[in-house]
Amino acid sequence: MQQNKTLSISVLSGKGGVGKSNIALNLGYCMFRGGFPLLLMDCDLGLANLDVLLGIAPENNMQNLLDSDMDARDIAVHIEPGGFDFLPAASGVPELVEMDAELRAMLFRKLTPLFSRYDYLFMDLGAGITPTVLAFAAMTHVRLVVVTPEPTSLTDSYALMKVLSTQHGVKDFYVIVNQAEDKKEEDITFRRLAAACDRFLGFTPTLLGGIRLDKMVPESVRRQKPLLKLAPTSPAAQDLFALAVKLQRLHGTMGQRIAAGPFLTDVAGNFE
Amino acid sequence: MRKTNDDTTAEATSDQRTAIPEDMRDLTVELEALQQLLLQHSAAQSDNNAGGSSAPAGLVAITRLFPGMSIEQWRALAESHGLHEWLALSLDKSSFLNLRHLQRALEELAHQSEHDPLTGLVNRRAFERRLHMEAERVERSNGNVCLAVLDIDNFKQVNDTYGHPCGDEVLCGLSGVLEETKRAYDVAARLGGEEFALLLPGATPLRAKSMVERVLHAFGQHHFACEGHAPFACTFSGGVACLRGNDSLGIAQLMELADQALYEAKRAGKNRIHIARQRQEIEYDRSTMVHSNEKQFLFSGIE
Ligand SMILES: Nc1ncnc2c1ncn2[C@@H]1O[C@H](COP(=O)(O)OP(=O)(O)OP(=O)(O)O)[C@@H](O)[C@H]1O
Ligand SMILES: [Mg+2]
Repeated sequence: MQQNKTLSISVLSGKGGVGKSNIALNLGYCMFRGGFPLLLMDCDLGLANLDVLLGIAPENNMQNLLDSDMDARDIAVHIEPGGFDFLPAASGVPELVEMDAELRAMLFRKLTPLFSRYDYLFMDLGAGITPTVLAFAAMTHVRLVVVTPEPTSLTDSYALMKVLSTQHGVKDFYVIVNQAEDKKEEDITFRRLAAACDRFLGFTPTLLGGIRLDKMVPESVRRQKPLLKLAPTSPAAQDLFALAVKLQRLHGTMGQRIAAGPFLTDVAGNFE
Repeated sequence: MRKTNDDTTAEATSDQRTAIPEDMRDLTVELEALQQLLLQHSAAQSDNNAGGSSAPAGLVAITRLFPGMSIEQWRALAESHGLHEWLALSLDKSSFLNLRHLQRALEELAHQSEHDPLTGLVNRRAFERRLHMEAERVERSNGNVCLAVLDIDNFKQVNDTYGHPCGDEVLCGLSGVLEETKRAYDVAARLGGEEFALLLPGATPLRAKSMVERVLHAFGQHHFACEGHAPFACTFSGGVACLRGNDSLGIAQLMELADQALYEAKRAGKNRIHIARQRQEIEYDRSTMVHSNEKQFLFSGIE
């Protein structure tokens, strides 16, 4: 088997509206600017919104892979020339986990030639704790759990990690604290989440970093442009950039491990 | 088909007594189902009469003709299946013939009331009954079932261009393809006009879609040669909707969803299958998943 260099990263949260899509989009943009080709996948099958953040109306989506002979490479949309590609979600489509082995194998077979072109695969997962979210999260090399200081965000992220660890044996998570007022709030938020995981679930998640509350984020949403492109010097943009650097380092240290395996581990057996 | 041939009967009795001859399997299945029903019924009865000692409301004998079986064979069967409370009466030739004639007439009527005379497929009424049964089973077993509604594309045009006899041939063509392509336990029906349906027990939406696509492909390969016209092929559009054990969806809603998906398939250009937009995902209940001591820990850092 050919050596794999693609690092797959899922962005998840439990609670909706905490910033997953913005984070996936901007981390992706950083990688692209750093010269690393990446594919951004909208895996929110319920409420796909990356296309809105990008200001595009894609003609095709993942559903076409199941429906027709279309090549995955023709479905991906080039957001920026030279390695920033986007794979639109299949909205209103039954979840991928309920596919049987045969169909799932078909989908991954069709995606493989596409994946191998990139250094990074970013998957923006939907909110909620659903079989689709669990399946994608369990398949990727890295899981980024987005949490805000809000109590409901804390409990929902905790619940998501609890299900993933107790039911699917996934115990390694990287936490991003988004929309914190300051460093102190970021610290408290992460510490509480980590302590609860440690105390009740038997593992400690790793802090990847925080992203400050920044009014330029909603502004970039309105302008349908990545924050890193619109306002690269804004506080949130700098935080996102720092996170991207950490991910690159992580990619380096994980190199050996991902080289041996596939882009995504099909652990679907756990879901039947 | 059950045989009335006497030789087979003799053969069967000379065999091991307890072994059920091939042609009697249907009977034992039927008896078991009936026994089950009667048991349920008598349980319900005794519940109703829990306090009182009222006389039974009615008295009924359930009879079933079984040509080709001797009293001895029945005894062996009753022995091996615990059917001692069932009464078997042997009939003389003329009453047997009369009763059999009557039974045939009943069977014929029953068949007619459940099947479409043109294609021989199950009709709407019988299909809906099967759908209800399947929905109940899904609920009990927490399984799933899919319903596909199919509608031949541009059928009016086929009738207008090639004539009604040819249109009938297209209808029969699709029913033939359905019968050939479906799995043994799927139910194919003609709901009326150029509308057909397929009930797919155990199928998931994507699986159902690919099965109906196989039907569509096979149907497309079919060429109809009608008098005075060049051979032509037809297509259909289909809508798939599914029911799961934990859904609260009713049969009527399921039908409506499948119809909507069919409508979308037509609008998207026909000759394709669409899956109904249903919220399929079961969400974990987050409120009960995080216990109060965990919550307290998350909010204050102390237990
Ligand atoms: N650091 C931040 N500062 C200020 N606002 C933010 C920040 N991060 C996200 N937001 C705002 O939060 C809103 C939700 O963000 P986003 O759509 O990325 O969330 P999501 O988790 O993908 O939501 P969903 O669960 O609906 O997919 C956006 O309007 C965005 O402007
Ligand atoms: Mg989102």
